[in-house]
Amino acid sequence: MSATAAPRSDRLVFAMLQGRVFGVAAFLVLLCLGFGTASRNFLTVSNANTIALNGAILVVVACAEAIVVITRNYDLSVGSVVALSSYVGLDVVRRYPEAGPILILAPVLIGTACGAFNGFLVAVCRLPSVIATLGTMSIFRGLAFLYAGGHQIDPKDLPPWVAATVGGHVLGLSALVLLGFAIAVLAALGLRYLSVGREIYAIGSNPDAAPFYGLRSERISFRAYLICGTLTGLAGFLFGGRVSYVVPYLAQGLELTALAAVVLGGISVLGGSGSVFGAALGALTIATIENGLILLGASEFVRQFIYGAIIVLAVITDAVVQQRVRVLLKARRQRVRAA
Amino acid sequence: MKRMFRGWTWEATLAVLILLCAAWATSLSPFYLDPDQILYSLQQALAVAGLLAGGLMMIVIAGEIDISLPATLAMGTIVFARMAEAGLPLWLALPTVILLGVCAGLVNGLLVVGFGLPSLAVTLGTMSAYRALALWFGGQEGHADFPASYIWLGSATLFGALPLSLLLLAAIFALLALVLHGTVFGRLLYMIGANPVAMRFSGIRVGAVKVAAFAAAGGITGLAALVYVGQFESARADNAGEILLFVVAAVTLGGIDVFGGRGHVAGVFLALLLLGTIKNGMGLANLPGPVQTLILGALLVGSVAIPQLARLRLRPRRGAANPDAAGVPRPAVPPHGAREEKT
Repeated sequence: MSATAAPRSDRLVFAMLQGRVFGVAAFLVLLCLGFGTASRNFLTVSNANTIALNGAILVVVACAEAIVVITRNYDLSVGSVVALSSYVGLDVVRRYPEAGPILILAPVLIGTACGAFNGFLVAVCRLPSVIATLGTMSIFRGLAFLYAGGHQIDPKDLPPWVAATVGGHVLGLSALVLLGFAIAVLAALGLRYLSVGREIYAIGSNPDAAPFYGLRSERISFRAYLICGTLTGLAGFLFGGRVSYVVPYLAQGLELTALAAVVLGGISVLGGSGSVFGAALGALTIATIENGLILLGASEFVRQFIYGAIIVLAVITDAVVQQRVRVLLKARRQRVRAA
Repeated sequence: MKRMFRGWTWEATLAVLILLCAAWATSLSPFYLDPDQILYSLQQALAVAGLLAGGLMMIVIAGEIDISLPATLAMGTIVFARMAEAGLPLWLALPTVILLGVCAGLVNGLLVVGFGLPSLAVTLGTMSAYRALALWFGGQEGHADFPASYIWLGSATLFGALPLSLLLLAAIFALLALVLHGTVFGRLLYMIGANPVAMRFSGIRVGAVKVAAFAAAGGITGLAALVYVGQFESARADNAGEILLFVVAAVTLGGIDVFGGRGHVAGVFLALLLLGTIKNGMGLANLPGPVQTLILGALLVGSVAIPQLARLRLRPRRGAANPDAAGVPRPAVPPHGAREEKT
């Protein structure tokens, strides 16, 4: 920090940047109060449980998407990766029931492979991430359909450990919720304290400067996609374990929900800033909105409109804040130079 | 002479591929080589998607992208349905919808330019916002009552076989070729896509040109909504949800550089014909829908990844004194992740 004290507006913007997670949390509380007064069934223990269970999977997907967004890329294929990894992965689980819970690796590895393919296209071929993942979105979904060949997986055919893992309880808390929480915490800590995480932020915040620090941008974006794919594969397993039938058209439109959660949680669409914890909170907020709107009997279009509005508003906020920060940083540099 | 050929190699490749695909389709079914069949299937595949591809092409050449065009299309069809219910004549409805499309494009463009935001993030948001507006205007149910004047453009045929909508598509592409390759606006689009910073330093109002491209694409989409209404005689808020992949694939397969600044209108037109022929062939081969989508996705990824890989392999041999085929010197490899230039 420079010796000169920053003016008040300066501090305010930095506080806003750092306090975004609290902002989302405050919004979530307000939202709960609003829905609570509007619907009598909202503020109940069982409903909170429902929100947590629905939100847990979205938290995992949002964390995955967040890591990619921080590197200034996007992943539109997460919904398809969930479908592919849950169908193919659970089919492997069904065929080898004697192998036991080690087979949870099957969906996870399928997700990793999908992430590696996305990473290859974006990091190695240097394609715009939108176009690459728009293509892989249909490729992965098509592969899931091809593999399924019109069949579906009945959860009754799956070995009991699947239901025990997804629906189980540890110390009275749902394992699914604990898992979602653990992944959010681990991802947030990893991004904050591990060198991999710091590199991911560095690439996203200034891709032009990163190579001058000896960072290899291809490798780092590739890793981000790899982590994203792995987490999405895990989410695919959880998703498949919770639905009544595993079908290849699972999780359609999940990419939009995940992106809405990510930008709502304060991850900048311009890359390089925001925390995964915020994305997790954003996912919980989205799950709350969804639940509250269903309780209020709102129609599908309200929900879609809200997602769209959230994305547009969050994106504009990002732009305004970043522009302001850029101006302030410039002013600070000049003050430091003058001092 | 050699120089002239070099600029057209991709288009020539596409033409050869079209012939190969037609041959493949002929081998699948003896009914393929029927002019009625070919024209009908091309109209089904291209009449609407082709117009959207024409609009998107301008935006991609300027170095941006708009994925909200299908949502704008759905909004347009709903407004046509509502206006038909209100008994408004076509000459009033068509300008309204085109204007609506222009406004949707303006919103996208102003958000992208005004705030310096990545166009994907903006149009991803407006995509769901426009769909929601369409649902709000039209409700959950579909509309199928259209007067004859509304469906004429999308369903009429000349000489018993030639669909009017395909003629419209060809006319719009001729117009686009004229605009992109023969006017100042068109050249500006290319140059902005190739190097926006240099254009800004040259005193060009980069933002205004980009907004104009978004608005023009929106207007074309409004026209496409009328073709859609005529072709399918239906309007629902979730219409044309799957069309985006086809449209983007046509643009990239047509040789438009995904980083902007390069590509010919003729290439996109040929890519449309190629995709239409492939779709026709896949239909004759009885491939299920998801597999067709898979192939489209693979074509999209391949059409962008292969040239890019080739370009990366060539990079060490490429010197500053060796400008590329388009004649515009530019870095062989755009900086990784570069989306918005830093100011």
